Amino acid sequence: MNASPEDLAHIIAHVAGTLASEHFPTGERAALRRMSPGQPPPLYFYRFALRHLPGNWEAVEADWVTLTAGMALMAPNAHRPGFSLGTALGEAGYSEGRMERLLQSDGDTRRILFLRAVRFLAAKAQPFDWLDGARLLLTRDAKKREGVHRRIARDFYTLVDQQKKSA
Amino acid sequence: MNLLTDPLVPVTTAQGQTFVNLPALLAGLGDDTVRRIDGLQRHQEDAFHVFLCYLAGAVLARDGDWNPVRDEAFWRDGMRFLAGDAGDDAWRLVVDDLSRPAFMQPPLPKADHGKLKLQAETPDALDLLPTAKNHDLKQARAARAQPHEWLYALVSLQTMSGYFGRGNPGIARMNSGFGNRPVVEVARSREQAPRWRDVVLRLEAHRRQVLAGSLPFRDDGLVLVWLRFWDGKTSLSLSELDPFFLEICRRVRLQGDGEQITQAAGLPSDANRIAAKEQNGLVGDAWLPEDHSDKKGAKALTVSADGWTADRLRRLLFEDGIRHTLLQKPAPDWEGDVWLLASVLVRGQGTTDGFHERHLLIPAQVKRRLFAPKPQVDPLAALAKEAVELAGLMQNRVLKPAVLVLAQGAPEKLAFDDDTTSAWWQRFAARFGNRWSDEYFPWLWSLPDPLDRAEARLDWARRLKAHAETVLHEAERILPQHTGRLWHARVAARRAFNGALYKHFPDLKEARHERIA
Repeated sequence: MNASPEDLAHIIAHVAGTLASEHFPTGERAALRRMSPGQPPPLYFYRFALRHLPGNWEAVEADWVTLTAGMALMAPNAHRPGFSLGTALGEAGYSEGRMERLLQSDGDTRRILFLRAVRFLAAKAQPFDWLDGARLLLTRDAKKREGVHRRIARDFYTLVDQQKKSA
Repeated sequence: MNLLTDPLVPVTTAQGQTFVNLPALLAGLGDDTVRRIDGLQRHQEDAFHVFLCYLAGAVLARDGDWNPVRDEAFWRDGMRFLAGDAGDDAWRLVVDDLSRPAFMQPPLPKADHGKLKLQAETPDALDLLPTAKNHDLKQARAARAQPHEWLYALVSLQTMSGYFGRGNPGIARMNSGFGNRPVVEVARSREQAPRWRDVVLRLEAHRRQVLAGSLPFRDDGLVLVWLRFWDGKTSLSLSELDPFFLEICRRVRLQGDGEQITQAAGLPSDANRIAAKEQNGLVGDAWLPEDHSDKKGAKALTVSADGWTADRLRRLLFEDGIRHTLLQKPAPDWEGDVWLLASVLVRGQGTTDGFHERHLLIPAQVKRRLFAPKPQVDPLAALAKEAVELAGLMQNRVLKPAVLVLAQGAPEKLAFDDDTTSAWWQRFAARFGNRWSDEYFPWLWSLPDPLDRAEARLDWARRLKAHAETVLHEAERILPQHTGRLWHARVAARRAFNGALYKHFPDLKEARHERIA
């Protein structure tokens, strides 16, 4: 993913907006929702990718499949800019064990665990800033990746520890 | 094997390696033809340096002219004069007649002649290192040793040993038998010859100071302590000795087969050779710093197993609870950079706790600030002390709780007495200590004159913070952690770190706000 942070934020907002649009064909959205990491995506996805995803999406196709499926799953209430993934999961009562496994996973396991987290948030109607999700899947540089993990973990545990204290 | 006439000491000169006798060695150090004395192990170097300086000092004191550049014949005559009636036997490595002295080996009463027992078959077994089962150094490895190896081991044993069990008393230039003997000197050069010349020249003033002081030394006292009979029960008093007395502390005799030295035999001694127990090691040694930090009274500095820590060196440099000897200051006419050279072999319980040395370069401009009159030095000294205290604060109040949180997996209540995590903490404390210590003196030397204390303090705090963060990051990577709490522990550790950091270093918080604004 070569997009700058501003570009990526713009793309995420655009994709989330497109999927949330009432004009977006319901059947296509349903097909995108059903996509699963490790499975070949439907033709709809390629059409969607060519129109809405950044030029180099094919290099990280599996991650864009996961992100698109996730945003479609939560549509129309997916994207809430500025509200971090860690905070959203903390507020929704996501378990510490699942958070640890998500941050320590890799490859398809990470994509599957991420989609499970998204389903969990969808069930709780808890939108979040999808830029965090994109960074979690697309960041390859080890140091930057650690920074992404650290931010998500910090937001999540700050909330969880506060809840424990006040309980 | 006469040290006065036989070429037994290997040296490197401009022409290459050769062997010289002891007077020629002193002449070569004087006129700079000797570049290096060879074959010395690192822990023997300073013992031999001290021996050569005191020997030259004692000879020159009797001559009255302190010029250290003399020829071989001068030194030989001077050494023979010190030996008196003992003649050249005092300088022979092996003298079969046990009623006569040999080099650093006292004559023994007739009744003891038959009691000598084999002590060492190799020089390294004779040397003062009580090594633990081949761990520090391979034991008894120098089979078929050459005479100079026995010479070095003998000097090392007799001038640096502490108490080593019953029958093995230690030297007088050490705080009790359980201390150690640091060798601390400010030098213009680390090369053996110029260093030796500088010391010998400064020893004149040191000698005057000692003789004028309260210690009962004699200007014409005994120098070669091994000249006197020793039955192992009697001690020599300081009032019999020259201030530059060349000490022995053990009853040993080298034995040979006419061609080479084959072994060392020894006898136990119940008493210290020098009666100076009440002096706590303060017997006018030129290299041994006086420690005045204890309310009970002054004593010779003893270095603990942590060696020359930045704080110990700071105390030395700024005379914080320490009193310098003349050798621990540059001579008034010295220009340019100088070195603080400090070494010590730390003794443990039947082991060594390591040979520690530190060579600290003091640039010329810093030298002027450091060795200036006290009021001028005080601001830098105060900041130097504060910087060490801040490092302690960062280590124990900021880094430690964060590492323990990490090691204990973000517990609800930290256990400061948990053995396993405390052991881990010690590793990271040492890493942090090494990191800031390496930077401490270069940073101190870089400070502008006059000092802006607040600015310097903030700068140091920032550096400490960076080191502490690096160590915490290392701990995150290295520490064994419960996978189910990995990220929780990391987040909690960072939170603990930042909370404590801004509590104990409020300046850093303000500085951060300034940057953001």
